[in-house]
Amino acid sequence: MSEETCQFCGRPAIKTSKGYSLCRYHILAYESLETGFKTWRERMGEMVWTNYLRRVSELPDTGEWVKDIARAELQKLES
Amino acid sequence: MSALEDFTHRGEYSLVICEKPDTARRVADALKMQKLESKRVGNSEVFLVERETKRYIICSAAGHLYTVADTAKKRTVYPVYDVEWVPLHQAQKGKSYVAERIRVISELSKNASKFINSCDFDIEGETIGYNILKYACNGKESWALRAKFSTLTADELRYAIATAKVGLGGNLAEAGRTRHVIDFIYGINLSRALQQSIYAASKGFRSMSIGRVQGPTLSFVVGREVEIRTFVPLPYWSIDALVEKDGQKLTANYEKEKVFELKLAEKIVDDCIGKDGVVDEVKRSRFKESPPTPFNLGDLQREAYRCIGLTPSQTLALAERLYLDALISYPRTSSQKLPPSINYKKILQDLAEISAFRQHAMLTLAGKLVPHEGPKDDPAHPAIYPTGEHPKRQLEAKEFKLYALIVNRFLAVFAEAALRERISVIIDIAGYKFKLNGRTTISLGWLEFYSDYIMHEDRALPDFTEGERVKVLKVSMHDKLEQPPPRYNQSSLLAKMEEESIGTKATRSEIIRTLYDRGYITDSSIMATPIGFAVVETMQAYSSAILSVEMTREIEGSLENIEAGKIHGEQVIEKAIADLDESLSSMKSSEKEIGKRLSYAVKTAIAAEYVLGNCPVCKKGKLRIIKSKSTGKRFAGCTNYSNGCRASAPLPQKGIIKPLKKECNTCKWPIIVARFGRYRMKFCINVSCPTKKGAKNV
Repeated sequence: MSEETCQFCGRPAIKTSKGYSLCRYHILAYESLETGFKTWRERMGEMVWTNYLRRVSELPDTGEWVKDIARAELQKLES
Repeated sequence: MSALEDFTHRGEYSLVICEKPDTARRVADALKMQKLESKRVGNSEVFLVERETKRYIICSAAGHLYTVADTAKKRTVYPVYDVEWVPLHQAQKGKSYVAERIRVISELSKNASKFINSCDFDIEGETIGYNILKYACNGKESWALRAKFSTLTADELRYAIATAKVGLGGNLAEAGRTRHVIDFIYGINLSRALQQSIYAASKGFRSMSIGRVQGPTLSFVVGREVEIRTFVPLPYWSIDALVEKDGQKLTANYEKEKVFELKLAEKIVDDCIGKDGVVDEVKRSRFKESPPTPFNLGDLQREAYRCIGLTPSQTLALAERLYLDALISYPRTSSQKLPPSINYKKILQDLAEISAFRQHAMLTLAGKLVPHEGPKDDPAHPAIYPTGEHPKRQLEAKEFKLYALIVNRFLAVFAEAALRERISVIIDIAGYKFKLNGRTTISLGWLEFYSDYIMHEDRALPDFTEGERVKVLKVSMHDKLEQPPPRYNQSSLLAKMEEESIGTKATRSEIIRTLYDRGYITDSSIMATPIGFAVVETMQAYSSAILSVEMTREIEGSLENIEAGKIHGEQVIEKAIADLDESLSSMKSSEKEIGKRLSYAVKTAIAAEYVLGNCPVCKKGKLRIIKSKSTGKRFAGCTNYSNGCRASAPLPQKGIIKPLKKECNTCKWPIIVARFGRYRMKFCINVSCPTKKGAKNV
């Protein structure tokens, strides 16, 4: 088992290029968040990453793991 | 045992072995010519019947009397491949009554000249009967007669006993016994591997289990949960137009249900505003809605869940009671067919004598008696149908609801198709097509018989003519978000198992129940728990074949081949052991790692039970149940206390507290449910919540 653990759920993780320690589920969530951003931009027209994160993290149907990533990204950007 | 001894010594008799005591009484009732004579022997009731020149002793099992056990009997050892069939009480606690039943059957078998296996005619019944004949009756399994029946009505039982013959069960018993051995070997070894891993990592014990059907089923739930938790809702827009015709306001939808660009949606609305519409096309088409097909067990479980709210295991239990009361045919069937031999007319005439069904039964009798059958068949039993027998006791509310569903479905399958008309009007507004859809029923057909269980709303439209101008009152667009896939419920999970051909019609609902009992899944809208996740993750890492539908399906296929006489049980067991051995070796070599992971999941699961929700004050911690060391009282406190968050709230000191996983709309504090016996109370834990009367503002 890898020593690294996911910063959100404690599962075995890897360090990503963005500096997060993510398990395979949170990696999936990250990918989903990024793909989602492309689609949101295509559909909504102009949209910036921060607004997108804010919006997505408040939607009731956004997946729990996606919300973890979105909130962490927001915190990182805000600090 | 004197009266019994007298009976056994007066002449030859056949020993009739039934699966359950209720069935034995029904068989005896059917065969008796005079007053029914029963004797209590130990904990069993046996029936002595003389019918014309034949004499019968009718006894019963109580489900399985024998089970598979490992010969070594060391709980911590795995792998275990040497297994044997033993009396149930030797392998399981609390089954001491089994010893007495076996003793009675064994005693009665000594002077019997014939043996009639009258257990339920399916793979489990055949296995139960075979084992009793083999072990309790000293090797009579190959020359015992087999009675085949699908209902417990007197006529059918008399016929089944009179026409019982050797070999009627084919290879069902071999297939059944093989299934039991394989399930035991998989279950015991994998469960021990998980438990031993936890022990190796933490010296602790936790009851864990996984099996060849449990594995893939749990995997479906976990897979769906991953989809939901990684879901990002994507935006789209819908557009509709409010039009007026003859003073009636109607909503027409833009031809594309979803518009995927905001700019395009806005352009469509802008272009349409202030324009009139022109009727482009009016289409009317008649279509037939076929009646439903007769119930097999899966269909019945799904429909009972949808219409009555019964879980699949509740439906099976209730259906078995109705079967034992001879009110319905054998419920563990895959068939969607009703052969004429069940005598439709007689059943309908009998149902017509029950006031609740009289009207529809009479109507059905007046029509053509041809059922609308489905494609699925079962060589052992027809689809589930009411026998027409009248209830001899007051049925409980749920029993009656299920019984009524079965009767009404039976009536509906004989009815005509419903004839309906679809009306579609296309209105052109500024070059964009909007659709009005209407639907009317010309003749109800089967819908009349099944109206309690199905919605069929009609939507009549006024008469439109092509080229006609239509006043457009408003065109609007609506912001929408795509939805995550729905969680499974017990009914849809059962359907998924059926679709993937894993488990059997008789065991699927039990498997789902076991997943709940083990704490792997939770809630009616099924969610995988941290332990459920951990088990799947462990299996994926070390023994992915156990989770694969293919492996389970392959074994099911082999069992069918045994039934068909194409292969022998030993071959299938050998192959299954070879496959399993590979997985077990991999697990054994990584016991500590697996154990660490599982122990962590168990700890997380226990901790999660105490978490009530996010802290609305610091927005970083979680509010969890804490027990005060000084007062011993429980309260909600923030996990971020060490960083200065002092958010807290009092909690009821009695009853069970469950987080509702919802926040109060007003103050954002968690909402909980407190259960005191039968009473439940739902409330926001914040004492200062503005919604609470007299709450102080803090």
